[in-house]
Formats: sequence, C-alpha cells, structure tokens
Amino acid sequence: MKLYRYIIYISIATALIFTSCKKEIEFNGEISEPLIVLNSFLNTDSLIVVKLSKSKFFLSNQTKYDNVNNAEISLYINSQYKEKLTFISEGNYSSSIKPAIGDTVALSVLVDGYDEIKTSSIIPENVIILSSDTTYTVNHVEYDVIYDEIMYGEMMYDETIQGDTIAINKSGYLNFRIHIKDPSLQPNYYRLILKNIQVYKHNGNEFRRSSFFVPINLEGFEDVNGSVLGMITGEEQMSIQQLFTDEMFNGKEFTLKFKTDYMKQIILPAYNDYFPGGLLPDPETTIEGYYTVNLQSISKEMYLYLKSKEEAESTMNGLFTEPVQVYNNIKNGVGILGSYTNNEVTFEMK
Amino acid sequence: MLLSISVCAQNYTISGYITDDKSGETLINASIFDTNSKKGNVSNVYGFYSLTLPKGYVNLQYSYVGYNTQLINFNLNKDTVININFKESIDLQEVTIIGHQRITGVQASQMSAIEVPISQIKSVPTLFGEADVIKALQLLPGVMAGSEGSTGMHVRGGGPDENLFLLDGIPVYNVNHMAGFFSVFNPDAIKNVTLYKGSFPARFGGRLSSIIDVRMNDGNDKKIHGNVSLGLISSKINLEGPIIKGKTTFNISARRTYSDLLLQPILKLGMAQDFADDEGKLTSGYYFYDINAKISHKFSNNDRLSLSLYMGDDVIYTNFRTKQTNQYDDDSNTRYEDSERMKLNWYWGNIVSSIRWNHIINNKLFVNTTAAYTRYRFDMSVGAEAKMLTITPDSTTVQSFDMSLGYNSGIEDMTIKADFDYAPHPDHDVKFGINHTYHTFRPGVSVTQMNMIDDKNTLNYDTVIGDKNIFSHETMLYAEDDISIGYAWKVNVGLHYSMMNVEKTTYQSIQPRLSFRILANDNLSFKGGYAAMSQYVHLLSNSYVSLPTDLWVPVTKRIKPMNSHQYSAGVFYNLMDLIDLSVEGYYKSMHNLIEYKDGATFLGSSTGWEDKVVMGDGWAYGVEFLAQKSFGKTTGWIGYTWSKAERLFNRPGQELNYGKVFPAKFDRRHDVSIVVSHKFSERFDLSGTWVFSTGNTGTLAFQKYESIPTPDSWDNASYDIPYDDSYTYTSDESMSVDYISGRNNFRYNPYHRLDLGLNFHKKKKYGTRTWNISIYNVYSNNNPFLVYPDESMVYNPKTGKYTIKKSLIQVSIFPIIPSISYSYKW
Repeated sequence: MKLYRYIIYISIATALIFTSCKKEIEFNGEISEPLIVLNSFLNTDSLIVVKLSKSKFFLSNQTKYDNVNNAEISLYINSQYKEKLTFISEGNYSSSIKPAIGDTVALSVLVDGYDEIKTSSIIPENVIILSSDTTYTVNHVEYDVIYDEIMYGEMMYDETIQGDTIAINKSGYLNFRIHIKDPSLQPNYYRLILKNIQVYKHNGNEFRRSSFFVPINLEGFEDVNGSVLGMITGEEQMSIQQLFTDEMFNGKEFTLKFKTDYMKQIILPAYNDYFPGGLLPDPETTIEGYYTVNLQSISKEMYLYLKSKEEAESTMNGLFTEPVQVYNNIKNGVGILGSYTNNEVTFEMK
Repeated sequence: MLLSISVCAQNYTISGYITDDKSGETLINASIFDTNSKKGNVSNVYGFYSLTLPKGYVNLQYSYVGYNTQLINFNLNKDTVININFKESIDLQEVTIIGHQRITGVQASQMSAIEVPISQIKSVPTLFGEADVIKALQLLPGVMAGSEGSTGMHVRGGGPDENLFLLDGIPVYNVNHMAGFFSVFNPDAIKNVTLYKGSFPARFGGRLSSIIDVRMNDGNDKKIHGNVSLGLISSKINLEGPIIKGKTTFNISARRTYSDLLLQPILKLGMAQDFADDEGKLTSGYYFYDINAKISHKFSNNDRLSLSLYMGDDVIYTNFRTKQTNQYDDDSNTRYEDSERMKLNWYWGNIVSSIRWNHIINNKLFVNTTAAYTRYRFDMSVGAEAKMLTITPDSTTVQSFDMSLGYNSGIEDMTIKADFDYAPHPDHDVKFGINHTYHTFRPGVSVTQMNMIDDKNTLNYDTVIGDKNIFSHETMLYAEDDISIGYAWKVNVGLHYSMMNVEKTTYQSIQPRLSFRILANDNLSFKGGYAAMSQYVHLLSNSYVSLPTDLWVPVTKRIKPMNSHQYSAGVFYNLMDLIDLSVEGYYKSMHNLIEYKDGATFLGSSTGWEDKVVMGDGWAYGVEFLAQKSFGKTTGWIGYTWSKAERLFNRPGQELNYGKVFPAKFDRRHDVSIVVSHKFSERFDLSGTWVFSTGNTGTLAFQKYESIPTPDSWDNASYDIPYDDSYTYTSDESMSVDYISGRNNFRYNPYHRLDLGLNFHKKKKYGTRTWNISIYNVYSNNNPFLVYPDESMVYNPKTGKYTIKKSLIQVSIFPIIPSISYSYKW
C-alpha cells in the first residue's frame, strides 16, 4: 500500500514536471481591417495591368483572397493624367497605353470605405550589353561502365564484373561573361536570370520546347555566408535569380561573371553495342540547346521587394532571426508597383 | 582636479584595513564616520580606508551591515593606523546600523547602484536550486531578465552585451553556463556584488548599460572552513583557510554538473542491446564545471599580494566506436576486420586570472596594481574514422578513411592596470588610475582534414578557412573626486578617457561623469547624475538564448563605437534605519547601436558580420522604486519598474522597420519583483520570490496578402507565357506574402511566477548541515517563451473532409520544478 502511494506521488510529480509546454492561445492584439493590395510589374512592351485584392487576417480560415472589382484607378504618367484603367476580370485592370523608358507611372486608386491608395514607379533605363562569351571548365570526369550481373544458383548477387566503357560524363561549370555599360550615374538595380531552353525537332521541324531556370553563382555579389557549416564546407551559393546593384560600377563598364553547374555526356562507340540506335531511337530527331541570359534593369522598389521577398521565403522564423518585412510601396495599402526593362542574350550550346 | 585640492596642514589621516573578526576577510564598503566633524568614508574593494580629519578630538563610528558597530574616541594629533576587526552581530534586530556612509545609502553621492548581500543571493530560490548571482540581480528594478530561465540581462533598456561583468576587477566575457540557464559565478566563492546601472563612477567604463562588480573571497585567515553541497544537477565544494596563519590564506571553490555521469550506464545498456556483435562503445553527455581559487599573502600592513583564478568550461562530448573482427570468407580463406569511430568534442569557457598587489604608499595614498589575463574560447572538433583490413594468408590490405573538422573562436585579453585611492582632505576622496588592455579577437577559424587510403589511391585534404586574428589596444584613464560641500551637498565628479586602436583605426572618447547628493536630513536625500559611456566591442549573438558560438568582435572602420548619455534623478529615504527606500527616474539615449537585419542570424562565424547588421539609435526611460531591507530576521526587497525602451534605425541604407521607431526586444512596461527571506529559527528559514512583468515583444504578420508572379520566374514558368497585351495576373494562396506592420509589434502574455525555498538547518558535531528544498514556478504558470502562428489539418467528421485550422501557439519551457539539495558547512 505504501509503495502504491509512492508511485502515485512520483507519477503526479513527473506529470507536473513534464506538463506539455505548448498551448493554443487567444490572439490578444487588435484585429485590423483588410488592407487593399495593389500589385503590378510594368515594362515598356506591355500595357499596364494592375491586380487589386484584399488582405486577410493571419488566423482567418478563408482560403482565397477577395478580389477588388469595383475600384476606380487613375493613371498618371509624368504627373499628367492619362486615363482610368479598365476592369477586365478578377481584380485585373488594364490601361490602353504602354509606358516608355524614364516615365514616372503613378496610380491613384479609389475603393469604397478606404483612403485613397497611391503609388508610383519609374521605368528604368536599359542596360547596354557590349559583349558576351562563355567558357567551360571541367572539374570531374566519370565513365559509364557496363556491369554484368552474375547469377549463382537461384540467388542473385550484386557482385559485378567490369565491362565496356560506353560514355564519358564530364562535369564542371559553364562560365558566362557579360560585359555591360551601366547607363547612368544614378543607382541602378539589376536582376539576372539564366534559362536553359531545349528545342526538339523532327526533320528540322520543332515539335516540343522546354525551358527551365538554372541556378547561377554571380562572382563578387555573393551573400554573406555566415554559418559555421558554410565556412567548413565552403559551398558556393547558387540562386535562380541574382539581384544586385551597380554600387561597384556606377556609371562604368563592368564584366559580370557568373557560372552554373554543367554536365556533358560523350557517347562512345561501345554504347551502340548495348543500346542499339543510341540515345535517340529516331535518327531524324534532334535536340537543340540554348541558354538565354536575361539581364533586367529593375526599379529600386522592385529590387527591394524581390530581395526582401526572397529573404522572407528563405528565412526560418523562430528563435534566431527576426522575420523579414517584405518591402511595399503602396501608400494606404500593401503590395508592389515595380517596373523593369529586359535585355536578352542567347547562347547556343553544341 | 587633483591640483585644485588644497591640503591643510592641520589635518591628520586615519587609515587601515577593515576585516571580519571571525574569518579575517576584508570588508568592502564598511562605513567610517566621525560624529564630531560629520565626515566619513567607506572602505574600498580591498577593505582599505583612509579618512583625513582636522586635528583634535574624534569620535569614530565603524559600522557594517550585520556587524556590531565599533566606537573609538581619541585625540587626533598625528597620522594614525587603525585596523578594525568587526564582530558579527548575534541578534541582528538590535544592531544599530549607521547606513550613512554606505556606497548606495541615503548619504552617499552614488545613485543607481545596488549592493546585494551574498547571503541574500544564496537564499533566493532558483531553477534547479542553483543559487545564482545574475538571477538575483535580475530581480532588481531596472534589470530585465532575458528569456525565461536565462541569465540574459537588459539594464535600463540596454542590450545583453552592454553589461560589464568584473570578477575582482577583470572582465568576464561569457558569464553563462548551459545556454544561459546558469551563470559562471559560484556564490560560494563570492564576497560582494554591486550593480551599477547609471551614474557610473569614472573608474568604470567600457559598456553602456551596467557594471556588475563581483569580488571573490580571500579566504579565512584563522582556521580552515569548508562547505560541501550536493544538488540535483550539480555538486559543489568550497575550502578556505590559512596557509600561514594571519599571513597567507587560500580560498578554493569548485562545482560540476553530473547529469552526463548518470547517463553513461543507460548508454552502456543501450549499446549492449543494439551493438552486441560489434563491440560497440558509446559515451556521451554534457557537463559544466568551474573552479574559483584565490591565494592572498600579507607581506606587511602596507603590502598585500593576491593571486586569483577562475576557470570554467561547458563540455559536450560523444565518443562512439564499433569493431567487428570475426568476419570470415572460408572459400578465399580471408578474414575481415572493420572498425568505425566517431568523436565529437565541444568546449567553451573562460579563464580569468590575475595577480594583484595592494600597497599603501602613505596613509593617504593607496594603490592597487593588477596584471591580468582573461580569455573566452569556443573549440569544436568532430572526427570520424573508418578502417577495414582484408587479411589473407599472403597479404593484408588496408582501406581507411578519416576526417576531422575543427572550429575555434574566442577573445583573449592581457591587462595591466593601476588604481589609486587618495584621501588628501576631509572633503575629498579621490580615485584615479590607468588601465591598458591588449585584446586578441579570434573571429573563428575552421580546419578540415581528410585522409583516404585504399589499395590503389591515397587522398589527403587539409584546409584552413577563417578570418585572421584581430589585435587591438584599449587604454583607459580616469580620475574622480567625491567632494563634500558642507552638510548637505556631496558631489562626485569625474572624467573617464578611453582609446581603442584596432586595425589602423583609433577611436577616442572623453566621458564626463557627475553625480550629486543633497541631504535634507539624516534620512532623506535627493540625488542626480549624468554619465557618458562608450563601448568598443559587440557581441554577435542572438537575443533569446546564449550559445557557445556567441562571439565578441571589436569596432571596425564601418561599425563605430556605441555610446550613451544617461541622466538620472531620485529620492532616497532611510526608514527607521531599517529599510532603504528609493525612487529613481532615468533617461538614456544610445547611439550607434547595432541590430541584425531582418532575417539575418549569427551562427558562429564573424565573416561578413558587418553586412548583417545595421546601426541606429535608441532611448530608454523609466521610473524605479525599491524598498530594501538588508538585515534582521526578515530581509529582501520590493522592486517595481515602469519603463520604455525604443529603437530607431533610419540611417540611409540601414533602415529597420521602414525607418520608423519600434520597441526594443525586451521592452516591458511593468516589472515587479518581491523577494522575501524570513528566518523563523536557527533551524528553519523560508524564502520566496514573486515576479510579474509585462510580456515580451515579438514580431508577427497580422495580415497576409497575395502576390503576383514575378516576370521570368518559377512563379509563371509552368505557363511560360510572355508578358503581352493579353496577359492578366492570376495568383493563388501559395503566393501569399506576410504583412508585418512593424518590428516587435506583438505583445506576449504577461509573465508571472512564484518561487519558494525552504532551508532546514541542523547543528552537527563538526558543523551545520542544511537541506534545501526549492520550488521553481510553484503554481506552474505557463509563461510565454515563444509565440508563433501554426497551421494544422483538422478532420471534420460531418463533412468527412479535412480543413486547415490556423492558430496561435505559445511555447512555455519551465513548468513547476521542485529540487532538493544537501549541504554541510564546517
């Protein structure tokens, strides 16, 4: 009986010590009204299209955002009133004119029950690409070797015997050099993207095209690698988009050097012994590979927005970091009005 | 300033040391007061005092809290040496305490300083029953604890790296054990703790917000005493006594946690079950230890030498190995031997050592010369080894792989300093000194080695990555004078000059200090003060928990020294010579503060740290109330603080919170602490602590909004649609953006907690044994440690579908925690 009582005492003490330390709590702050959200990226090749919606409370179980379909949006270019944007559908509004480089595009939005929402952006000047080239660096070579599986009785062993070499795989970096002229002494902001495009042709006719974004490392613009692990491994940072400023080359010529992982396979004659017909069963089908470099001049707001959004998405909020505030340039609302101009260089891969 | 003091030929000086009669331990801040001339002074941190008085009849009162007052009357007609041995009071209730001259009392010119008796620190009930100096200080007004259970301190709106912890006058860089849940200061080794949070005397400098002056015991010079304590997580031993009676003393304290030792049998059992065939062995665990040691030698009444050492480390270790020797292939007559080994060792901790020479040049001039070495280091090593032997009758083939990663960082100081106390005149008490420190900052270096050997190839890899050590010189000069002007006025005026030379950049700072007291009557005074402070080092850390990777770095060309200006004023009242009451108000402005950029974190490497931080300003203001009773059967204090601490980071390119003002991380409006100890009898005493504070701040996104696909990105890659006239934006919830209205925009729930400690004493043949029962968080309040939004899938049985439920989750870390300890003191 005494033992039984001790067990109860110990159990109570243990339960108290290891009481669950996580609990749901009521939100004790002020629940604010939804904000008007304005989003648009402007460029000289397109009409101005603006998306309007409403934000939602972070604990709301509402799955969709409410579009704002009854707003009045006035467009001003270089302080001159131009027109009211036309409602298209699902919160989208469009202009009938396209902006030009150097234009200051301002929007004034009226929505019932809200203060006037204002924003503006300047269409940035295009960067001048003076020259470009690529080189290829091989770091590692591997050989594809045919192995024969050997059967011993009814059991299959994974032991193998070395056979013929059918292919050579070379891996390394594809290095790009783009020589540019920064257009003005004003601070300029850039976004660099590399796309791989593969065009499938049959008898010379394109029947399929695929493209994907390729992570790149831009020399001299790496983010600070601050972890112990990063220091030890010395890993290079690769990113789908590179956002950078002209702080180092304001108004001058500069060579952007960036690279991406690259692998090349060389098929040896022995390949056909094992796989008759080679990689492509149909000899009349060909694949053409391209790399396209998009160097965009972007407005400061677009730079700050993309940069902070990228950081917010990659940050693990919690004990060690402050959450990232995503930049917005909408007065009396949230969202982004950004602008960009695009420059594209294509490299054919052989 | 010194030249301006005119020395009167009619004055004589009384000087000497003040010690405890029982232990011979010197007493700090003991009061010496002449009731005839109404002049007085206090003993310095080495127990030395000097009081210059006019020739004639003097009536001296020597007093110290908890000791019988001594009265000496004589005709002063020459310089006189009087060493005082205080006898401890038997009944504290009846002792008359002359609180006039205490450093923090009504009559002192110093304000914004609090002495916490070490007995009070030991009686404060704490987490796991481990008495802790810093946790006791956190209960004082103006001091905010960091996150729950941690030793983080935020004094008057300052940051955690703005506190200077001095152990016998030497800086301790990392004051934390076990991620900040314990401090490095073992109360058994400590004599006195004084916290300065404003109106800093000129002798202190180097940090913006506080100075914590911790003094170690010298050791009993009469006979050997000791204390052994066994707790739930650690054990301690303290020994002190004479080496040469009356001349040389020693004091040594050591403690170690032992959870790792208890873990070993469990690991052994687990290995025996899981790796029985592999001769597996695993040892693993965490512990911390620290050792305080001091040897003091009295050459003569004029010369004393002491050597002191603090050494402590936190250690994480894992050692795992397996070995297989009995694998045979009968067909080929081959035997295989496999062995694998993994080793991980982390060490972090301090060494603080010093040699100190106290010399009385003459009865007016005392000098303390110190040479010191202090260092904090963090060493990490990880190693893995694999070896395979293929043994045939003809040959033995070896295949092996071993790899080791090492990382070490830290800071190392070599200091030489001289501090002078000069009492030239009844109305002047002068202190001046010089301090030079040579800093070596080790910003973090990693070493990677890899060796691979098989029958054909050998691969060796050896690399060292990291920043070079940074060396710097820091020099400080100071002079201060505590001036008595008539009965009512007392002014402490001083100047602190500091200079830091680092990487060909020199920063200098002249910091004026002023504090004054206006005495309305013997029990009531009004005080005011101003202090300018500069700080040349930053702690790269994170604000919640202390990690061993926390790293001190110096200012740079880009990151300027932090500085502050603090103004304070207050009313001090001594109630019936029993309770010290004070109300203080302060305003502090801080400049060149650093904060991490949004999303930036520090995890051990200083590389590029300047790019992760931004510089800005801050200010804090508040009112503090304190009622403190330091002696009698019931002791303790009631503290209340109303305060506000804000930050503004709006310098171009360095904006935080869109360049708008935001509350500091540990900005709390109300902070209450009640600390009471009551001695019911010789056999039983009880202590309790209750704290309440406004919740911490956190950053939450209260709204979510949709974004649109970025041109040429994965957002619209699947469509591969060019932006043309016909394009309209589509979006879905996966492209939401969190809208954060401001940094630290959310207030956690209030924090409150009650702790109790019960002590049962019993006199034994050779000493006294004490059982201590401590209960942390008696009513198990779930105090917020972290709050975050959460999403979970909830099954609805009616619809048969899952829906998303969004909620706010609060994490608490310490529910009720009882603990017990046993100690024996002889």
